[in-house]
Amino acid sequence: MMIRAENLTKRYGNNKVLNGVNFNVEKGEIYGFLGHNGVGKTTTMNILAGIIGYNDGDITLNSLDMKNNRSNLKGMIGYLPEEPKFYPYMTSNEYLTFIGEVLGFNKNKIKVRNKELLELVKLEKSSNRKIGGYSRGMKQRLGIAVSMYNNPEILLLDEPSSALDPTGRKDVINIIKNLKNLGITVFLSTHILSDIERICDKVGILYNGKIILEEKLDMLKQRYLHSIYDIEFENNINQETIDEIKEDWIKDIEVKDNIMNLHVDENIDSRDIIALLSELNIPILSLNLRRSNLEDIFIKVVNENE
Amino acid sequence: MLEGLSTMEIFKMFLPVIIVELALKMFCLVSIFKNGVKNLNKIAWTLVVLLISTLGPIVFLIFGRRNNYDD
Amino acid sequence: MNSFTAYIKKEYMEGIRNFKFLIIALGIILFALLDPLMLKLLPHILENQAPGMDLSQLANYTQEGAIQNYMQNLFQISNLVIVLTLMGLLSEEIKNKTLIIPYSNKVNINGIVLAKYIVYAGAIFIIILIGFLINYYYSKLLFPEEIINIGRVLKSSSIFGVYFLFNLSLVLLMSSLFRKSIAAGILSLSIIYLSPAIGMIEKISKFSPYYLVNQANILSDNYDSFLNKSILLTFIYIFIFIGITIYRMNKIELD
Repeated sequence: MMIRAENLTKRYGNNKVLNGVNFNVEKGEIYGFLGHNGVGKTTTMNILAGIIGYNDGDITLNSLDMKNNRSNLKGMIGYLPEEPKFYPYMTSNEYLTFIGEVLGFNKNKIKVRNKELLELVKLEKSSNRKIGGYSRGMKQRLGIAVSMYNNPEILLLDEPSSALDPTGRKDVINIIKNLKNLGITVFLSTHILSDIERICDKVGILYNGKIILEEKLDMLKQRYLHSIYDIEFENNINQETIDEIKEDWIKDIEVKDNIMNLHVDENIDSRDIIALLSELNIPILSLNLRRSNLEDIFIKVVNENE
Repeated sequence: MLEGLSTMEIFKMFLPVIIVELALKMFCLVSIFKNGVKNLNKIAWTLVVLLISTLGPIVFLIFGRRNNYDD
Repeated sequence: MNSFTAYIKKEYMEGIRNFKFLIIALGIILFALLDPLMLKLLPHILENQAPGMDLSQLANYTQEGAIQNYMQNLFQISNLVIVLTLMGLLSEEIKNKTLIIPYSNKVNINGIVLAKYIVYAGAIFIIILIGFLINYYYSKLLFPEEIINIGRVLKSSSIFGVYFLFNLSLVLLMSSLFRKSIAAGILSLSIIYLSPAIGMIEKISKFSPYYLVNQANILSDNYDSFLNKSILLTFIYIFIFIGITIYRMNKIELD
């Protein structure tokens, strides 16, 4: 177990931001930490990074207890804040050198490491330009390089792709994918679900100060995903037609004018649907299979916990 | 005005102050038009720098200067 | 130690690239040139305005007077320039969140505070010395009648330097307490400008760092016997202020 949080609580005055948060992250896993804006994701990340304290609960990182090892742990964790802030008058090469010096590396090691990291995040060409002139995406990539400096086993990435344009996002996602090959455990917070679908192994959903769902992504999909068929009829559908449909593999029927959404079991395919439709004997215009995605699951889980 | 001193001597007396003041004003004006300003607009800062001696440029450097790398 | 050297380099770079050293140097050195000149011109200007007035009572038209005028401006204007330039020393870093990455990388916080203090303390001390030397030679040029010993000027400049080191520690402390740098600046300036008022009360005046300004103004070898103790006391204040700043920066929650 690489990261374990038990009953984590954080209060600001009377305002309980985190109210007993539990999660477990295995070694080498990419963990997607989901939640709306302002739900406490950044607070959790800051606590894990050792930047702010917490009121109650236990955190174990790499089998070291956070309370007693806060300063030791800082060097073992890489942290990319939501909006990484650098000294704008430095170039990225100078900033990496600065971090290397803070970490106590010697000159040669710093030189080698800077080159490696700038290559990893593809900033070699801009390494001698001032950071103040960088785009958001470049700053984010530099932030990843900085967080990787000390070869951490755990990487905390707070909304790494949220504020970026599509190309910038794609670059960042690809870099994170590469991290997985390096065997680094990544704890990634985001509210962009498509990113999680692309890279994460496991997701946890934070809502109202608690983790309301934590599951492997493939298990989650199996459990929550069932196919939806969108059927467009020529005329509006009346209630009698709906009543005629009684098959038990149909989970739910939604109707609006001439469009019907059928929620069906996973093992049902189009042949069954067509057989059903031919029985109804009404003209249809189109039949489409729609797979529900993580977004639907997220909304569903949050609604269940409302 | 300064009896007993030739114009040349007066000029020599003033020279260090004039040089520093002019260099400072030039530096500020270049900064205003090259990198932009903050808190006031360019014309206002130009007037401050040109019309108020010594303190004008200092106030500009503290409150009005933008770096070419500022967001 | 690593953090300390890293931050020494960083502050040095910031001082140059953000023109902080330059602004402080201007705020200190310009008056070294301007004050003797103004003093030289003053009688001529007044003569045109009010002929026949006895001007010798108004000011001390000697090199000594010129240097004393300079010290007055150092207190009034250079303090202002230094505080306004450095009020963001810590508060800007807290507000702009530039400390988050170093903090998450095991930075030594004591090292940050000390590095910041030492870089600017060194810069200010050197600039003050240069300012006094320029002032000395320029006023010598303008008032060649009575020339005072350079040793005395160097002593006064050192005393003034110590006084500015105290003000620097004050700004640093204030800057760690407020997220808005202007608040830190205004509070520091209020304390600095109100301290002469404390000086009015005979008994405690010696314990205020402003006492150093008074002593530097004497410009002769007749310093008060309490001066050495006052310098020592000022260094104690500086240590205390830096200590509180370090404590504060270790406790602060950066978010």
